[in-house]
Amino acid sequence: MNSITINNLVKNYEKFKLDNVSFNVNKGYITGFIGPNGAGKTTVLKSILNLIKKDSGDIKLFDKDLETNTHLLNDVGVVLEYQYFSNDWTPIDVEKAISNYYENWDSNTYINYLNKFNLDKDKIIKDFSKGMKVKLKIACALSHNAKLLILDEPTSGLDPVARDELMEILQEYISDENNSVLFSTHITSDLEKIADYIVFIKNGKIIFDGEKDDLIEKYLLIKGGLNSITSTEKKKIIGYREYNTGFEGLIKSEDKINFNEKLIFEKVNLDEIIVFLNKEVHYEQH
Amino acid sequence: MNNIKNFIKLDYISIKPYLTIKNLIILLFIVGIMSVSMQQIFIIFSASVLMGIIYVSYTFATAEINEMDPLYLTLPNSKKDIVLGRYTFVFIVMLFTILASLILALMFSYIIGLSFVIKDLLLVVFVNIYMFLMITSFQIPIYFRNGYSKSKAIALAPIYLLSFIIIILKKILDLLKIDVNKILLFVINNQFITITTSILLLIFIMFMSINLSIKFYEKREF
Repeated sequence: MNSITINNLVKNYEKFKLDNVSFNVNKGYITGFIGPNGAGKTTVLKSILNLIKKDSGDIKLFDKDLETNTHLLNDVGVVLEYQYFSNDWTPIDVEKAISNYYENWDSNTYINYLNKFNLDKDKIIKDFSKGMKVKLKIACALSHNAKLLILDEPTSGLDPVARDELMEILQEYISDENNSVLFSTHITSDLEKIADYIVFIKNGKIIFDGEKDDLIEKYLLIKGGLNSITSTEKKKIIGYREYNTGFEGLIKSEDKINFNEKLIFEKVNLDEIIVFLNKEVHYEQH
Repeated sequence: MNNIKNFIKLDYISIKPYLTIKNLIILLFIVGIMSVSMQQIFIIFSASVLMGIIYVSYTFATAEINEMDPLYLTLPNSKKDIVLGRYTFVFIVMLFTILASLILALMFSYIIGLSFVIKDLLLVVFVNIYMFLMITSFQIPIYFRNGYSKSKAIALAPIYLLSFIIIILKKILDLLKIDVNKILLFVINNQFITITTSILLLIFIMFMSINLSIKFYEKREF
Protein backbone atom coordinates (compact mmCIF):
# COMPACT_ATOMS: atom_id res chain seq x y z
CA MET A 1 0.00 0.00 0.00
CA ASN A 2 1.24 3.50 -0.84
CA SER A 3 0.80 6.28 1.68
CA ILE A 4 0.11 8.73 -1.14
CA THR A 5 -0.84 7.91 -4.73
CA ILE A 6 -1.16 10.72 -7.22
CA ASN A 7 -2.31 10.08 -10.78
CA ASN A 8 -2.46 12.71 -13.53
CA LEU A 9 -3.04 15.63 -11.18
CA VAL A 10 -3.90 18.78 -13.10
CA LYS A 11 -4.37 22.23 -11.61
CA ASN A 12 -4.59 25.27 -13.85
CA TYR A 13 -3.77 28.81 -12.86
CA GLU A 14 -3.54 31.81 -15.13
CA LYS A 15 0.23 31.65 -15.39
CA PHE A 16 1.03 28.19 -14.07
CA LYS A 17 -0.14 24.65 -14.52
CA LEU A 18 0.40 21.37 -12.70
CA ASP A 19 0.70 19.14 -15.72
CA ASN A 20 -0.40 15.52 -15.18
CA VAL A 21 1.58 15.09 -12.00
CA SER A 22 1.87 11.46 -10.96
CA PHE A 23 3.96 9.88 -8.23
CA ASN A 24 3.70 7.71 -5.14
CA VAL A 25 4.97 8.02 -1.61
CA ASN A 26 5.95 4.54 -0.56
CA LYS A 27 5.19 3.25 2.88
CA GLY A 28 8.27 2.92 5.07
CA TYR A 29 10.38 5.48 3.19
CA ILE A 30 11.26 9.15 3.07
CA THR A 31 10.44 10.80 -0.23
CA GLY A 32 12.15 14.09 -0.94
CA PHE A 33 10.17 16.51 -3.05
CA ILE A 34 12.50 18.92 -4.79
CA GLY A 35 12.42 21.55 -7.46
CA PRO A 36 13.21 25.22 -7.95
CA ASN A 37 11.03 28.02 -6.59
CA GLY A 38 7.64 28.16 -8.27
CA ALA A 39 7.98 24.64 -9.69
CA GLY A 40 4.73 23.53 -8.07
CA LYS A 41 5.84 21.74 -4.90
CA THR A 42 3.51 23.59 -2.53
CA THR A 43 0.64 23.39 -5.03
CA VAL A 44 1.01 19.61 -5.09
CA LEU A 45 1.12 19.42 -1.28
CA LYS A 46 -1.95 21.66 -1.00
CA SER A 47 -3.76 19.46 -3.52
CA ILE A 48 -2.90 16.35 -1.51
CA LEU A 49 -4.34 17.98 1.61
CA ASN A 50 -7.38 19.30 -0.24
CA LEU A 51 -6.50 22.92 0.55
CA ILE A 52 -6.97 23.65 -3.13
CA LYS A 53 -9.31 21.98 -5.61
CA LYS A 54 -7.70 19.95 -8.34
CA ASP A 55 -9.00 20.39 -11.86
CA SER A 56 -8.58 16.71 -12.66
CA GLY A 57 -6.66 13.65 -11.61
CA ASP A 58 -6.74 11.31 -8.70
CA ILE A 59 -5.17 11.65 -5.25
CA LYS A 60 -5.36 8.91 -2.66
CA LEU A 61 -4.17 8.86 0.93
CA PHE A 62 -3.70 5.30 2.20
CA ASP A 63 -5.59 4.17 -0.93
CA LYS A 64 -8.63 6.29 -0.03
CA ASP A 65 -10.01 9.59 -1.21
CA LEU A 66 -9.44 12.33 1.39
CA GLU A 67 -12.40 14.42 0.21
CA THR A 68 -14.83 11.79 1.45
CA ASN A 69 -12.65 10.39 4.24
CA THR A 70 -11.40 13.36 6.27
CA HIS A 71 -10.82 11.05 9.27
CA LEU A 72 -7.70 9.89 7.37
CA LEU A 73 -6.06 13.10 8.60
CA ASN A 74 -5.87 11.43 12.00
CA ASP A 75 -2.88 9.58 10.58
CA VAL A 76 -1.26 12.56 8.89
CA GLY A 77 1.12 15.02 10.50
CA VAL A 78 1.44 18.25 8.58
CA VAL A 79 3.97 21.07 8.56
CA LEU A 80 3.08 23.80 6.08
CA GLU A 81 4.53 27.25 5.56
CA TYR A 82 1.47 28.99 7.02
CA GLN A 83 1.42 30.84 10.32
CA TYR A 84 -1.12 28.17 11.39
CA PHE A 85 -1.57 29.03 15.09
CA SER A 86 -2.86 32.22 16.67
CA ASN A 87 -0.08 34.58 17.70
CA ASP A 88 -1.82 34.99 21.06
CA TRP A 89 -1.65 31.28 21.86
CA THR A 90 0.95 29.53 23.96
CA PRO A 91 2.04 25.95 23.14
CA ILE A 92 -0.36 24.88 25.91
CA ASP A 93 -3.23 26.64 24.08
CA VAL A 94 -2.16 24.90 20.87
CA GLU A 95 -2.52 21.54 22.58
CA LYS A 96 -5.91 22.49 24.02
CA ALA A 97 -7.08 23.65 20.60
CA ILE A 98 -6.08 20.65 18.50
CA SER A 99 -5.51 17.62 20.73
CA ASN A 100 -9.20 16.67 20.92
CA TYR A 101 -9.30 16.22 17.18
CA TYR A 102 -6.81 13.38 17.23
CA GLU A 103 -7.72 9.90 18.38
CA ASN A 104 -4.10 9.18 19.28
CA TRP A 105 -2.89 12.50 20.65
CA ASP A 106 -0.11 11.87 23.15
CA SER A 107 0.35 14.73 25.58
CA ASN A 108 3.61 13.30 26.96
CA THR A 109 5.13 13.10 23.49
CA TYR A 110 4.10 16.70 22.84
CA ILE A 111 5.63 17.97 26.06
CA ASN A 112 8.79 15.93 25.37
CA TYR A 113 9.17 17.58 21.97
CA LEU A 114 8.58 21.02 23.46
CA ASN A 115 11.37 20.30 25.93
CA LYS A 116 13.61 18.79 23.27
CA PHE A 117 13.16 21.91 21.09
CA ASN A 118 13.55 24.24 24.09
CA LEU A 119 10.11 25.75 23.56
CA ASP A 120 8.63 27.45 26.61
CA LYS A 121 5.13 26.04 26.93
CA ASP A 122 3.83 29.23 28.55
CA LYS A 123 5.33 31.74 26.13
CA ILE A 124 3.02 33.29 23.52
CA ILE A 125 3.76 32.41 19.91
CA LYS A 126 4.08 36.10 18.99
CA ASP A 127 7.38 36.06 20.86
CA PHE A 128 8.69 32.95 19.07
CA SER A 129 11.33 33.20 16.35
CA LYS A 130 10.59 31.75 12.90
CA GLY A 131 12.58 28.64 13.77
CA MET A 132 10.70 28.17 17.04
CA LYS A 133 7.37 28.39 15.21
CA VAL A 134 8.53 25.68 12.80
CA LYS A 135 9.61 23.52 15.75
CA LEU A 136 6.18 23.94 17.34
CA LYS A 137 4.51 22.76 14.14
CA ILE A 138 6.87 19.78 14.00
CA ALA A 139 6.08 18.94 17.65
CA CYS A 140 2.35 18.91 16.81
CA ALA A 141 2.85 16.83 13.67
CA LEU A 142 4.76 14.22 15.66
CA SER A 143 2.48 14.03 18.69
CA HIS A 144 -0.50 12.07 17.39
CA ASN A 145 1.13 8.89 16.11
CA ALA A 146 0.75 9.91 12.49
CA LYS A 147 1.59 7.29 9.87
CA LEU A 148 2.45 9.89 7.29
CA LEU A 149 4.26 13.21 7.59
CA ILE A 150 3.75 15.85 4.91
CA LEU A 151 6.41 18.50 5.44
CA ASP A 152 6.69 21.63 3.35
CA GLU A 153 10.07 23.28 3.84
CA PRO A 154 10.29 22.16 7.47
CA THR A 155 13.96 23.07 7.74
CA SER A 156 13.62 26.65 6.54
CA GLY A 157 14.29 28.95 9.48
CA LEU A 158 16.02 26.21 11.47
CA ASP A 159 19.66 26.55 12.47
CA PRO A 160 22.04 23.72 11.48
CA VAL A 161 21.80 22.10 14.92
CA ALA A 162 17.99 22.04 14.83
CA ARG A 163 18.06 20.78 11.23
CA ASP A 164 20.32 17.95 12.22
CA GLU A 165 18.06 17.19 15.17
CA LEU A 166 15.04 17.04 12.85
CA MET A 167 16.88 14.68 10.48
CA GLU A 168 17.57 12.38 13.42
CA ILE A 169 13.92 12.53 14.50
CA LEU A 170 12.77 11.66 10.97
CA GLN A 171 15.23 8.79 10.74
CA GLU A 172 13.95 7.43 14.02
CA TYR A 173 10.36 7.98 12.86
CA ILE A 174 10.92 6.06 9.65
CA SER A 175 12.44 3.11 11.51
CA ASP A 176 8.81 2.05 11.96
CA GLU A 177 8.10 0.55 8.55
CA ASN A 178 4.46 1.65 8.71
CA ASN A 179 5.48 5.30 8.63
CA SER A 180 6.37 7.45 5.66
CA VAL A 181 7.44 11.00 4.95
CA LEU A 182 6.95 13.39 2.05
CA PHE A 183 9.49 16.13 2.55
CA SER A 184 9.64 19.19 0.33
CA THR A 185 12.72 21.35 0.68
CA HIS A 186 15.16 23.68 -0.98
CA ILE A 187 17.92 22.55 1.35
CA THR A 188 18.76 19.39 -0.52
CA SER A 189 21.72 18.51 1.71
CA ASP A 190 19.08 17.42 4.25
CA LEU A 191 17.60 15.02 1.73
CA GLU A 192 21.02 13.67 0.77
CA LYS A 193 21.27 12.41 4.32
CA ILE A 194 17.88 10.83 4.78
CA ALA A 195 15.77 10.54 1.62
CA ASP A 196 15.21 7.17 -0.02
CA TYR A 197 13.26 8.46 -2.99
CA ILE A 198 13.28 11.76 -4.85
CA VAL A 199 10.50 13.39 -6.81
CA PHE A 200 11.78 16.28 -8.89
CA ILE A 201 9.28 18.79 -10.20
CA LYS A 202 9.98 21.59 -12.65
CA ASN A 203 7.48 23.98 -14.25
CA GLY A 204 4.62 21.87 -12.93
CA LYS A 205 5.91 18.64 -14.46
CA ILE A 206 7.56 15.72 -12.74
CA ILE A 207 10.94 15.20 -14.38
CA PHE A 208 12.26 12.52 -12.07
CA ASP A 209 10.57 10.07 -9.74
CA GLY A 210 12.72 7.32 -8.34
CA GLU A 211 15.41 6.29 -5.89
CA LYS A 212 17.71 9.07 -4.74
CA ASP A 213 20.83 7.11 -5.69
CA ASP A 214 19.49 6.55 -9.20
CA LEU A 215 19.03 10.30 -9.64
CA ILE A 216 22.52 11.06 -8.39
CA GLU A 217 24.01 8.32 -10.57
CA LYS A 218 22.02 9.46 -13.58
CA TYR A 219 24.07 12.63 -13.93
CA LEU A 220 27.72 13.70 -13.81
CA LEU A 221 29.29 17.09 -13.31
CA ILE A 222 31.61 17.93 -16.17
CA LYS A 223 34.41 20.52 -15.93
CA GLY A 224 37.36 21.62 -17.97
CA GLY A 225 39.30 24.38 -19.61
CA LEU A 226 37.64 26.54 -22.23
CA ASN A 227 39.79 25.11 -24.99
CA SER A 228 39.46 21.50 -23.94
CA ILE A 229 35.92 21.01 -25.23
CA THR A 230 34.55 20.89 -28.76
CA SER A 231 31.36 22.61 -29.85
CA THR A 232 29.73 19.20 -30.51
CA GLU A 233 30.46 18.23 -26.93
CA LYS A 234 29.15 21.55 -25.60
CA LYS A 235 25.76 20.82 -27.20
CA LYS A 236 25.35 17.74 -25.03
CA ILE A 237 25.83 19.67 -21.79
CA ILE A 238 22.87 20.63 -19.62
CA GLY A 239 23.14 24.10 -18.07
CA TYR A 240 26.53 24.81 -19.64
CA ARG A 241 28.22 27.81 -18.06
CA GLU A 242 31.57 29.42 -18.74
CA TYR A 243 33.98 31.13 -16.38
CA ASN A 244 37.26 32.92 -17.03
CA THR A 245 39.15 29.77 -16.22
CA GLY A 246 36.91 27.15 -17.71
CA PHE A 247 33.42 25.74 -17.88
CA GLU A 248 31.11 23.41 -16.01
CA GLY A 249 27.82 21.70 -16.67
CA LEU A 250 25.79 18.57 -16.22
CA ILE A 251 25.71 15.54 -18.44
CA LYS A 252 23.84 12.26 -18.36
CA SER A 253 26.17 9.55 -17.10
CA GLU A 254 25.41 7.43 -20.16
CA ASP A 255 26.73 10.28 -22.36
CA LYS A 256 30.17 10.22 -20.75
CA ILE A 257 31.60 8.12 -23.57
CA ASN A 258 30.87 10.94 -26.00
CA PHE A 259 33.30 13.32 -24.26
CA ASN A 260 37.06 13.47 -24.53
CA GLU A 261 39.22 12.13 -21.73
CA LYS A 262 40.85 15.46 -20.89
CA LEU A 263 37.66 16.64 -19.23
CA ILE A 264 36.96 16.15 -15.54
CA PHE A 265 33.90 14.14 -14.47
CA GLU A 266 32.64 14.35 -10.89
CA LYS A 267 29.73 12.98 -8.90
CA VAL A 268 26.93 15.51 -8.54
CA ASN A 269 24.83 16.34 -5.52
CA LEU A 270 21.12 17.12 -5.49
CA ASP A 271 21.74 20.86 -5.28
CA GLU A 272 23.81 20.81 -8.45
CA ILE A 273 21.21 18.69 -10.22
CA ILE A 274 18.50 21.23 -9.34
CA VAL A 275 20.64 24.18 -10.40
CA PHE A 276 21.69 22.71 -13.74
CA LEU A 277 18.36 21.14 -14.63
CA ASN A 278 16.63 24.37 -13.75
CA LYS A 279 18.81 26.17 -16.26
CA GLU A 280 18.38 23.28 -18.67
CA VAL A 281 19.82 25.41 -21.41
CA HIS A 282 21.93 23.45 -23.79
CA TYR A 283 24.84 25.20 -25.41
CA GLU A 284 23.12 25.78 -28.75
CA GLN A 285 20.46 27.86 -27.05
CA HIS A 286 22.97 30.39 -25.67
CA MET B 1 -20.92 15.98 16.43
CA ASN B 2 -17.57 15.56 18.19
CA ASN B 3 -15.82 17.63 15.55
CA ILE B 4 -18.38 20.42 15.96
CA LYS B 5 -17.67 20.36 19.71
CA ASN B 6 -13.93 20.44 19.01
CA PHE B 7 -14.32 23.39 16.69
CA ILE B 8 -16.34 25.34 19.27
CA LYS B 9 -13.44 24.82 21.70
CA LEU B 10 -10.94 25.91 19.06
CA ASP B 11 -12.98 29.06 18.36
CA TYR B 12 -13.24 29.82 22.06
CA ILE B 13 -9.46 29.48 22.50
CA SER B 14 -9.00 31.77 19.47
CA ILE B 15 -11.04 34.65 20.89
CA LYS B 16 -10.15 34.05 24.54
CA PRO B 17 -7.28 36.60 24.43
CA TYR B 18 -9.86 39.28 23.57
CA LEU B 19 -12.15 38.42 26.47
CA THR B 20 -10.37 40.81 28.77
CA ILE B 21 -11.35 42.65 31.92
CA LYS B 22 -10.56 45.88 30.05
CA ASN B 23 -13.24 45.10 27.43
CA LEU B 24 -15.72 44.22 30.16
CA ILE B 25 -15.06 47.53 31.96
CA ILE B 26 -15.54 49.44 28.67
CA LEU B 27 -18.88 47.65 28.12
CA LEU B 28 -20.02 48.32 31.69
CA PHE B 29 -18.99 51.98 31.40
CA ILE B 30 -20.85 52.48 28.10
CA VAL B 31 -24.05 50.74 29.19
CA GLY B 32 -23.89 52.49 32.59
CA ILE B 33 -23.66 55.95 31.01
CA MET B 34 -26.36 55.14 28.44
CA SER B 35 -28.75 53.65 30.98
CA VAL B 36 -28.43 56.62 33.35
CA SER B 37 -28.63 59.31 30.67
CA MET B 38 -31.58 57.68 28.87
CA GLN B 39 -33.21 56.38 32.05
CA GLN B 40 -33.58 53.11 30.14
CA ILE B 41 -31.98 49.81 31.09
CA PHE B 42 -32.97 47.91 27.95
CA ILE B 43 -30.23 49.74 26.07
CA ILE B 44 -27.90 47.23 27.78
CA PHE B 45 -29.21 44.50 25.47
CA SER B 46 -28.45 46.43 22.28
CA ALA B 47 -24.94 47.34 23.49
CA SER B 48 -24.20 43.74 24.50
CA VAL B 49 -25.58 42.34 21.25
CA LEU B 50 -23.33 44.71 19.32
CA MET B 51 -20.37 43.55 21.41
CA GLY B 52 -21.37 39.89 20.79
CA ILE B 53 -21.51 40.50 17.04
CA ILE B 54 -18.05 42.06 17.17
CA TYR B 55 -16.73 38.97 19.02
CA VAL B 56 -18.23 36.74 16.33
CA SER B 57 -16.26 38.67 13.71
CA TYR B 58 -13.07 38.14 15.79
CA THR B 59 -13.22 34.40 15.01
CA PHE B 60 -12.91 35.19 11.31
CA ALA B 61 -10.39 38.00 11.85
CA THR B 62 -8.12 35.82 14.01
CA ALA B 63 -8.33 32.96 11.52
CA GLU B 64 -7.35 35.24 8.67
CA ILE B 65 -4.58 37.18 10.39
CA ASN B 66 -2.96 33.98 11.68
CA GLU B 67 -3.62 31.90 8.53
CA MET B 68 -5.57 29.37 10.56
CA ASP B 69 -7.88 28.04 7.85
CA PRO B 70 -5.18 25.62 6.65
CA LEU B 71 -4.93 24.43 10.26
CA TYR B 72 -8.69 23.80 10.40
CA LEU B 73 -8.51 21.87 7.13
CA THR B 74 -5.58 19.68 8.09
CA LEU B 75 -7.32 18.57 11.26
CA PRO B 76 -9.45 15.44 10.86
CA ASN B 77 -12.72 17.20 10.14
CA SER B 78 -14.72 18.29 7.11
CA LYS B 79 -15.44 21.80 5.85
CA LYS B 80 -19.07 21.19 6.83
CA ASP B 81 -17.98 20.45 10.42
CA ILE B 82 -16.04 23.74 10.45
CA VAL B 83 -19.04 25.75 9.24
CA LEU B 84 -21.48 24.04 11.61
CA GLY B 85 -19.00 24.45 14.47
CA ARG B 86 -18.73 28.18 13.76
CA TYR B 87 -22.53 28.60 13.68
CA THR B 88 -22.93 26.69 16.94
CA PHE B 89 -20.25 28.88 18.48
CA VAL B 90 -22.13 31.99 17.29
CA PHE B 91 -25.31 30.63 18.85
CA ILE B 92 -23.48 30.10 22.15
CA VAL B 93 -22.10 33.66 21.98
CA MET B 94 -25.66 34.87 21.45
CA LEU B 95 -26.95 32.93 24.48
CA PHE B 96 -24.08 34.21 26.60
CA THR B 97 -24.68 37.79 25.40
CA ILE B 98 -28.38 37.67 26.28
CA LEU B 99 -27.67 36.06 29.65
CA ALA B 100 -25.00 38.67 30.45
CA SER B 101 -27.39 41.44 29.36
CA LEU B 102 -30.09 40.07 31.66
CA ILE B 103 -27.73 40.03 34.63
CA LEU B 104 -26.46 43.54 33.81
CA ALA B 105 -30.02 44.84 33.35
CA LEU B 106 -31.08 43.48 36.73
CA MET B 107 -27.91 44.89 38.31
CA PHE B 108 -28.37 48.36 36.80
CA SER B 109 -32.10 48.41 37.53
CA TYR B 110 -31.22 47.81 41.21
CA ILE B 111 -28.36 50.38 41.26
CA ILE B 112 -30.10 53.13 39.27
CA GLY B 113 -33.49 52.35 40.69
CA LEU B 114 -35.27 51.90 37.35
CA SER B 115 -38.17 49.47 37.26
CA PHE B 116 -39.38 47.54 34.22
CA VAL B 117 -42.30 45.40 33.14
CA ILE B 118 -41.53 41.70 32.64
CA LYS B 119 -43.54 41.61 29.41
CA ASP B 120 -41.38 44.45 28.03
CA LEU B 121 -38.25 42.63 29.10
CA LEU B 122 -39.35 39.47 27.28
CA LEU B 123 -40.06 41.49 24.14
CA VAL B 124 -36.62 43.14 24.34
CA VAL B 125 -34.95 39.73 24.79
CA PHE B 126 -36.84 38.35 21.79
CA VAL B 127 -36.02 41.34 19.58
CA ASN B 128 -32.33 41.26 20.53
CA ILE B 129 -31.99 37.53 19.92
CA TYR B 130 -33.72 38.10 16.61
CA MET B 131 -31.44 40.95 15.63
CA PHE B 132 -28.29 39.07 16.68
CA LEU B 133 -29.18 35.98 14.66
CA MET B 134 -30.42 37.95 11.64
CA ILE B 135 -27.29 40.11 11.43
CA THR B 136 -24.86 37.21 11.94
CA SER B 137 -26.82 35.05 9.47
CA PHE B 138 -26.19 37.74 6.90
CA GLN B 139 -22.55 38.32 7.84
CA ILE B 140 -21.20 34.78 8.24
CA PRO B 141 -21.66 33.56 4.64
CA ILE B 142 -19.85 36.70 3.43
CA TYR B 143 -16.96 36.00 5.80
CA PHE B 144 -16.80 32.39 4.65
CA ARG B 145 -16.86 33.46 1.02
CA ASN B 146 -14.32 36.28 1.01
CA GLY B 147 -12.50 36.10 4.32
CA TYR B 148 -12.62 38.79 7.00
CA SER B 149 -10.66 41.71 5.55
CA LYS B 150 -12.45 41.68 2.20
CA SER B 151 -15.84 41.48 3.92
CA LYS B 152 -15.44 44.03 6.73
CA ALA B 153 -17.32 46.83 4.96
CA ILE B 154 -20.01 44.62 3.42
CA ALA B 155 -20.62 42.85 6.75
CA LEU B 156 -21.89 46.13 8.22
CA ALA B 157 -24.54 46.25 5.52
CA PRO B 158 -27.35 44.63 7.58
CA ILE B 159 -27.21 47.55 10.01
CA TYR B 160 -27.47 50.12 7.18
CA LEU B 161 -29.89 47.88 5.32
CA LEU B 162 -32.24 47.82 8.29
CA SER B 163 -32.40 51.63 8.45
CA PHE B 164 -32.84 51.71 4.67
CA ILE B 165 -35.68 49.16 4.76
CA ILE B 166 -37.45 51.13 7.51
CA ILE B 167 -37.19 54.38 5.48
CA ILE B 168 -38.39 52.70 2.27
CA LEU B 169 -41.19 50.91 4.08
CA LYS B 170 -42.32 54.20 5.63
CA LYS B 171 -42.33 55.85 2.18
CA ILE B 172 -44.34 52.98 0.66
CA LEU B 173 -46.87 53.10 3.49
CA ASP B 174 -47.17 56.87 3.04
CA LEU B 175 -47.65 56.47 -0.69
CA LEU B 176 -50.30 53.83 -0.23
CA LYS B 177 -51.83 55.93 2.53
CA ILE B 178 -51.69 53.05 4.97
CA ASP B 179 -51.76 54.05 8.63
CA VAL B 180 -48.69 52.67 10.48
CA ASN B 181 -50.69 52.62 13.68
CA LYS B 182 -53.10 50.15 12.08
CA ILE B 183 -50.21 47.81 11.33
CA LEU B 184 -48.85 48.18 14.85
CA LEU B 185 -52.32 47.51 16.18
CA PHE B 186 -52.51 44.38 14.05
CA VAL B 187 -49.16 43.23 15.42
CA ILE B 188 -50.28 43.88 19.00
CA ASN B 189 -53.61 42.15 18.49
CA ASN B 190 -52.10 39.20 16.66
CA GLN B 191 -48.97 38.57 18.66
CA PHE B 192 -48.98 34.82 18.11
CA ILE B 193 -49.12 35.14 14.31
CA THR B 194 -46.48 37.89 14.32
CA ILE B 195 -44.07 35.97 16.53
CA THR B 196 -44.60 32.66 14.70
CA THR B 197 -44.06 34.33 11.31
CA SER B 198 -40.93 36.10 12.56
CA ILE B 199 -39.49 32.88 13.98
CA LEU B 200 -40.25 30.97 10.76
CA LEU B 201 -38.58 33.73 8.74
CA LEU B 202 -35.54 33.65 11.02
CA ILE B 203 -35.28 29.84 10.75
CA PHE B 204 -35.51 30.08 6.97
CA ILE B 205 -32.81 32.79 6.82
CA MET B 206 -30.54 30.83 9.17
CA PHE B 207 -31.04 27.68 7.12
CA MET B 208 -30.14 29.57 3.95
CA SER B 209 -27.18 31.20 5.70
CA ILE B 210 -25.72 27.87 6.86
CA ASN B 211 -26.15 26.27 3.45
CA LEU B 212 -24.58 29.21 1.67
CA SER B 213 -21.65 29.21 4.10
CA ILE B 214 -21.03 25.50 3.49
CA LYS B 215 -21.19 26.08 -0.27
CA PHE B 216 -18.85 29.08 -0.13
CA TYR B 217 -16.34 27.43 2.19
CA GLU B 218 -16.26 24.29 0.03
CA LYS B 219 -15.12 26.51 -2.83
CA ARG B 220 -12.47 28.43 -0.89
CA GLU B 221 -8.82 27.63 -1.58
CA PHE B 222 -5.95 28.31 0.79
